Amino acid sequence: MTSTPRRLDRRPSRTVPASLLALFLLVLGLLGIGVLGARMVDGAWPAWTAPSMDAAGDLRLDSAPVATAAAVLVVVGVLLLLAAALPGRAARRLVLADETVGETAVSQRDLGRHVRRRVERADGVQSARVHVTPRRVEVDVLCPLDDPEPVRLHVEQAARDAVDTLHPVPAPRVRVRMRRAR
Amino acid sequence: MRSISGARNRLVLIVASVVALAAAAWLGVAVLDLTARWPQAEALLPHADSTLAAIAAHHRQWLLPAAVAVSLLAAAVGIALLLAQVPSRPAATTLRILDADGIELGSLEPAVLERVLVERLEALAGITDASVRIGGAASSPWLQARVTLADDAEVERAAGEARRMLAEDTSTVLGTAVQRVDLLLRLGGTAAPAHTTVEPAAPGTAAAEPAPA
Repeated sequence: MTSTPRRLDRRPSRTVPASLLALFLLVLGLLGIGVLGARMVDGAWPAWTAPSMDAAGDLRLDSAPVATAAAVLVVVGVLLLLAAALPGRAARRLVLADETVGETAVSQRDLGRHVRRRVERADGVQSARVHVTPRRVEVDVLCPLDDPEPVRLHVEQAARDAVDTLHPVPAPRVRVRMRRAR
Repeated sequence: MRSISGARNRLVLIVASVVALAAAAWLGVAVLDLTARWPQAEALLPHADSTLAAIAAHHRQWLLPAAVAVSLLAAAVGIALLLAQVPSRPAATTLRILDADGIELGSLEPAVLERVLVERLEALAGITDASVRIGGAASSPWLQARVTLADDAEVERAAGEARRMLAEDTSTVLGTAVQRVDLLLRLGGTAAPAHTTVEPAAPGTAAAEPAPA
């Protein structure tokens, strides 16, 4: 057992690229075991791969297909390296720091949902969409009024209040965009 | 709380990227015909006019068994990496409570304390669901809890009360201060259950019969 728990606002675990890589390795490995194993036992390629293997064997290393394979490997290698090296955006953020030792966190999605619920209670709001980034909370409001500007003040206040109740760290800026419902 | 090792995934991705880039570099040397420009490395680098069949024939002693071994390794790593994507948590160890002389006074299964703490959390106003995980030793325990708050809950008060309660209750039971209390809030979006209890009327005090005139 670890002596300390993992942080709640940890960076993403890179599950998607790791799973894709795992599937690729598994398929490649099984294919290799089947084809190369048959070659090792029988001394010949399996019938269904023989034409492809013969064609691949005849390729010169300076041919276009080999150059393409090299380019694909470069792209794949760089993508894998970026997936590993870039920290990625944390799915949670720290909120409500208090005197009790430890931390409190909420997911970015829940923060967005929390803000949206508060905004949709404001007068003159038909619906709202909220997008949360580490630095900003962007609120996109659909308003049935011809002139939606007077509603903006209420929406901004509601969104700011919703964010302030959680005291997120760092505190994001609230940006409201009003759109008229057709 | 269950989690996936990000460090392990990143390490595997780095290793795979290095292998892919090394293979690309080996092929690139042949495509760009670097052997002609750098004859000293002729023994190591592939020639542009070589074919894959010729290279395979030249190394036939070891290439096929090595390729089979690499295939086996790739399949094993693929399976292990797939299994590693299932979130897991370390096994809980029994909490042993010792006195000042280090003599064991008693032991406690973490699951028991976790269940009690969950019940205590769910009794707090505004919390509709909770789970608790205790780790570390009895002398320096840590807690990670996940609570779902009702839509109409006072978030700051509910979270503060939950963390305070977790720290105090655990300290009381284990007789030591907790190392840390981490709380993951889920803002659920459902209304809090109405905790309204209607006491059955005691005999004699029930709706008084109107006195006969």
